[in-house]
Amino acid sequence: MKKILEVLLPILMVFSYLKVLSFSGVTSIFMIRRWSMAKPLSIVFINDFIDCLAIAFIALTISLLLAYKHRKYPYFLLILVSALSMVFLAFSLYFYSALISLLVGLFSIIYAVFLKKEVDLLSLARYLFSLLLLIEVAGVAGWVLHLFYGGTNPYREPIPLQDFETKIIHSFSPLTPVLATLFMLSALLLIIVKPLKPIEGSRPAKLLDGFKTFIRDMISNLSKHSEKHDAWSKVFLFSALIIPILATFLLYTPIINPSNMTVGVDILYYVDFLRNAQESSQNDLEFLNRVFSSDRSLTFLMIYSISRIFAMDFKIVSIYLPAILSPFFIFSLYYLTLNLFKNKLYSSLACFLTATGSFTAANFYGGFLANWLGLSLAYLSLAMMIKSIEQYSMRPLLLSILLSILSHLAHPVPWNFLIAAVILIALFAATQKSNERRILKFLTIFIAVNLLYDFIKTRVLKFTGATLVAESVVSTELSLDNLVNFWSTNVFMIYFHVGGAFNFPPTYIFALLGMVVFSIARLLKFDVLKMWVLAGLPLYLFGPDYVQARTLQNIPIDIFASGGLAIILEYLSLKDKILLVLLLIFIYLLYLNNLLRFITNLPF
Amino acid sequence: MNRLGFKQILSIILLNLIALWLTYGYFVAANPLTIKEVPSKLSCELLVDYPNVIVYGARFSISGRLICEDGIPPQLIVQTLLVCGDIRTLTVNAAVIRDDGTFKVDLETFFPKPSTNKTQCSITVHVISKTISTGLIDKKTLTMIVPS
Repeated sequence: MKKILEVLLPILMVFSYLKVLSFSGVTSIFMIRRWSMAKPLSIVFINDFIDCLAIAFIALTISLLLAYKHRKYPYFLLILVSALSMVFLAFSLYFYSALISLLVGLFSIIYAVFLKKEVDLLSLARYLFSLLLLIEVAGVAGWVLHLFYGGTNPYREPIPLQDFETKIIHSFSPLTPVLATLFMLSALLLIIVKPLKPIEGSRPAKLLDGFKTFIRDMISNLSKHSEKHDAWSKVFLFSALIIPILATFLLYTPIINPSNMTVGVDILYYVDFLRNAQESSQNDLEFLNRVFSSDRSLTFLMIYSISRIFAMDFKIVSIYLPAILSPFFIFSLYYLTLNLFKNKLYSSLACFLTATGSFTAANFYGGFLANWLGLSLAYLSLAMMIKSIEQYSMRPLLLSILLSILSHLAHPVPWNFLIAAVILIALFAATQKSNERRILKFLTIFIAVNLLYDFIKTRVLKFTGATLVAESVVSTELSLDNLVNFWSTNVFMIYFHVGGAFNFPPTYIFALLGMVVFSIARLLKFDVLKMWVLAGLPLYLFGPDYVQARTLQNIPIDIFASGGLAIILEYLSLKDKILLVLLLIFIYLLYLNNLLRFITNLPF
Repeated sequence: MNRLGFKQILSIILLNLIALWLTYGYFVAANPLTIKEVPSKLSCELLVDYPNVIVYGARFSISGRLICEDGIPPQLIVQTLLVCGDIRTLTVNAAVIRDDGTFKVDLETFFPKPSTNKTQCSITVHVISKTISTGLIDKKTLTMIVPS
């Protein structure tokens, strides 16, 4: 009977949840062929009556099984409630019928799993993840079939195979703005929570201590188990390198892009700038002067050099540049996360979450080529700085400074974030005793050289540059009005900006957990990341929608997400190895579906 | 017995205020239709008349009618996009849907002259309310003749 309950309960929960969603008339915003559309989250398997009948029948079966085993009053009541679900069905009250089935499922889980401990939570989770995996596999299969064979017009009809997955994810989308804001505020929240310590010796205090010890042990053991799950590390890293390259080319295939539109919004800006600079320059020196007077000179130079070497049009180079920028970004991120975690699996996982998550999706929509390059260089610079601090060596520091200057040349925003984070961590180190003092010397050199470089470029040579951009954003874009209207702006940003690329709740859930892990670990290298997020907080709270979006785009949220997943996966590796594998496959397919869904609907 | 100090009281108040603010945010996010004032469900049919051929440099118009079971919702706009080969050759124009559901949108081929004498264009008609598409869409492929 235990096995039957373990199988039936997840089925009841998932399907009754889908039907409740369906009948409640909940709507979400989908990007379908580049248009943001309000669509109801309705799902029909066979027809509404048969769907609800099947769910009510499962709920009744579970109630009967529990009543047969325990023969107590509450279980007989549960049978009556389940029967009520059938009665509602007879009167065509589908919503109430599905809702009662869902409540029966919830009650049964609370009672059988948490109170009576009759059903093992991990076993239940195994079946739940197996079911969710099937839905994810159907989603991937649906997109792959669509990529090869075209099929139903996505303007009119949802494609059934991927419809379940998409609608389940979108049903959580109202949580996204809340989770994203909570994540941005989390560094502050941890300070606010600090005085609320549980009473020493109490049960909550013991639980908290146990949790902290587990996390600290886990972090210190990560480097020892660096080679563990080596096959998974390779799969995640290889996929992170290959998938965005494939996506770049997929975007210009006839099935995905029948009108052959240029997908990235900013790509035409890069092409226009380079064409104008070339046409209005008499010689190469004049051209270079024009390029270096812009705030994205390195990116322009990269496009220009490739188009000259391979005799290609600026537009063709810009369109396919993500095939170079993305692997370079993944390389930088892998190097940084390897320095942070000292563990291959979680470094590869961070890369995979980035390559298939909001960051890459937003970059494809916006054509944020310079931002892509700039952030890659900023991450490499940060990795080198961490290395120089750990080894107490000047050579990596010099390399870090060089990379940060290159980041400044590529795009002003990532450089601004990097410098703001380093200034904040230097201020933090200055307040600490003894050990952090020597670190202060390194940080001061890094900040001084970078600011001096920016001063020469922007104030002496009068070129545009990072601090000028930051000044202009702070003085013209940030306002108290934006804070007053925060939620409408933020919700609009999440649902509509860059095609709703940031509307992916799982990342924020994992990232929040990651923030807790990094805060408990109390290591300087994790503190830099927290400061990076903190540096973006004023922009996020006081900025308009596109400033909020740029902030989310430039904070290392996927590194936090990987840190959050680390604690779940390390826990499961101790408790249930099968569930660990199921979760890894689930995450892989969940994120793959996210990118496929986005890419397929990106062009008109 | 442990007593609450000033810091603890301040923490509790701040946490409660933030929790309330986040809950409000959830309700705003859970009602995208309310905040953007889009009709929640439309039982409508969109009928559009397209020209058979369009000529580069000449104005043309498309007309049509929206037929809804429960009457025409107010403040609906019909937006058309003409894409000829590339996003650069994109033309957008919009018109308000009249009370009787009829509309007419004028379009011009504003983009640079194509090098070929004939090209395929895709025209899409969306019914939108402010910034959100209602999901009512019609699409057709047209031939554009480019006079020499």
